[in-house]
Amino acid sequence: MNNAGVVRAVHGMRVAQTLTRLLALAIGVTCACGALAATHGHVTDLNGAPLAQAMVTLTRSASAAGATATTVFTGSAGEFSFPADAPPGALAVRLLNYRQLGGAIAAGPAPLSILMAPEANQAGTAPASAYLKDIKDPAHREALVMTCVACHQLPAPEVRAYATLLDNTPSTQTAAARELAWTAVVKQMNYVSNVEFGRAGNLVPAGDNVYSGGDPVPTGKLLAEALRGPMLEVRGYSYGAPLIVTPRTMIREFEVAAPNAVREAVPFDGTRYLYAADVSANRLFRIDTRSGAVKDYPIPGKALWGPHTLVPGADGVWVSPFFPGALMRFDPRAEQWKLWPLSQPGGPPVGLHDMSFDPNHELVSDHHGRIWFSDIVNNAVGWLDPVSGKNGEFKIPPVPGRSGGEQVYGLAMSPDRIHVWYCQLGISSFGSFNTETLKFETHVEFKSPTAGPRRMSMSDDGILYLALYGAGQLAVYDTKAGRMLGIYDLPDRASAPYATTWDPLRKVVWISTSNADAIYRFDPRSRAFGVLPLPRERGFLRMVHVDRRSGALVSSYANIVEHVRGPRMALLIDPGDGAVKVAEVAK
Amino acid sequence: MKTLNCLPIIAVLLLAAPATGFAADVGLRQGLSPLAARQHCDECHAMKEARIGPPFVAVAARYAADADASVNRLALKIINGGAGNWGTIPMVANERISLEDARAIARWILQLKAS
Repeated sequence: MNNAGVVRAVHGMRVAQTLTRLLALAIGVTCACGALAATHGHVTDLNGAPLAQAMVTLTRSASAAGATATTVFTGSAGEFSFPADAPPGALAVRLLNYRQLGGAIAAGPAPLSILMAPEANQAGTAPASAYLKDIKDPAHREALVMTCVACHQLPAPEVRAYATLLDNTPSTQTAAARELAWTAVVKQMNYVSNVEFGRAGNLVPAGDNVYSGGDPVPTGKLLAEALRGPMLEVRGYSYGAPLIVTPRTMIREFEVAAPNAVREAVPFDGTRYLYAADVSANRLFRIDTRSGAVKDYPIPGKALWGPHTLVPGADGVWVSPFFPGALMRFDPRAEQWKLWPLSQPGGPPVGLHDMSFDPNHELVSDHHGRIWFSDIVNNAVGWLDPVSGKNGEFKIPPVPGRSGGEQVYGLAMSPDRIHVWYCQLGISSFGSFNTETLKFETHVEFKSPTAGPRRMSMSDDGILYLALYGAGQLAVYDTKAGRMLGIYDLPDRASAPYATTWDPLRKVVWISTSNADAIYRFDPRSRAFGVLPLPRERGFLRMVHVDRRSGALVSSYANIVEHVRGPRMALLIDPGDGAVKVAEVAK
Repeated sequence: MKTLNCLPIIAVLLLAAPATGFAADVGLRQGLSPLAARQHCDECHAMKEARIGPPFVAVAARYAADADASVNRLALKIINGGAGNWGTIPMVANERISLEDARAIARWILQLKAS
């Protein structure tokens, strides 16, 4: 190149730099995050073959704004691309049966080529449920899920580490010694639960009485049988159904800085904000999905409530607290709380779990303006008239042969707003209550007493979908015809399905799992399941909401209390099926 | 079998009493140092009663003669867990506790006999 050529080249570079700066300014105006170009590339194996449906996660740098992590999935040619406004950060890829070579790499405008090596040991990519796949007796699996996964994934990394320790310790080489060791761990967990769930009062007695979870020995035996060997490896796990992710799928995770215990997250009124409950304290978080900024909204007063279940309504986010005695509502527009004390003369305080919601998963009242709820403490369905402040409730009739420990849990209202349907987690049954006649009507029992129905939802045409936590199944019940349409095995029976969410936009059911780091999609027309894998271990899910305005899914990792480690995050998900109005997301 | 589920436990423990703070407060109420309470040592140990693990005062008594030299050994036991001195059941590992914090907890345990 001669001098003139150099001058032209330098001039050209300056022009390009100027254009780049102008472009950057323009993007800076329209985007919150300021990345100069979309991060994109390919994921292949060592032979150059493209790897489809790999999770590519961009974790933003600490100084950047936006989602904490953004995950996209590769297409059939192994290609991936992040939106232009994705923040700067580092990329990592996860794919079952592979491991990324070279570790995380910096995001940038140049095309990226990411290599993956085969890895039969799925530790690190398979969910906790993978370690339970070889339990032969379904009753044992159900018991462990119902007992342990109620509060944390099993086996969590700490549990696996303890199995390794037992495997390495000379004194715990016998089955009897391992049973003793696991029983001690159950005692520890019982103590933890007693402390955490007694936080509203000084309720920790001394000595052996501190254990609140019943006899630890049976669970210790089950753990000793199920968690054998060093547990450094898990092999042969598959998701159990086709993945539904596409190159358009995008999962955005928003971390809330510790300490907290994010429990549930919901959208509200088509805004760009998500609202998340902190069950460890008295507050909601408002998460700005554009900037990632988090704002606290403390509940006024000194009583400890612990926001727990959230249901969006026309007039605010309705909140049932973890500690009993009230129903509350946060008005995001006025940024104000309102609290309704719930009286229960002569009995224990009212312990809300679920509130009545409609097929759109929005709070709904009956024809008399009453909001209905499940009272897990008194095993009753209750109501509140938010105008008068009056409340009352009706105890659920005992079920012959299954009395004691009923634990009414999920609640949903029929489309005609006459019936509320409830399920009883502890005795595996569900039923209905007529809000006009004030009588209990339907009652249905699942065969297994540890099937464990938790949160449920109802479609526009009155089909009730129940997540069977212990059994790892989905029950589908026609409330109009009064008959069970089917009980379907989930793709992973140890997934601990926590909730179902009827999706009125797609006419499908979303099933959130607590132990499989995944959300399942059930299509009632084909009766087929699909899997939406999540990009993070310990994705201990509770409810999934569908944002009516955008079609995006909203959820959260619900790792409860400070003892249970794991991510504290709200999630905003575009499943990549074309149903999400991208322009409406994070508006 | 009863479950560890949070909500049935509420049924037993209900009472919307005034807030008393976070779980570490329990450890403090039971006489633990703030650091030991924050690291949840009370989950397995009490001051004077044997629970899942030995009481703190017993640990202090066992190593009293060699307290200074025992700080590091106890700190590593806190972090790595293991069995051998108090029966067959291994103590869980606490790998998230820093060596500095583990040493501080060990020093607090070992001074219990003297106090």
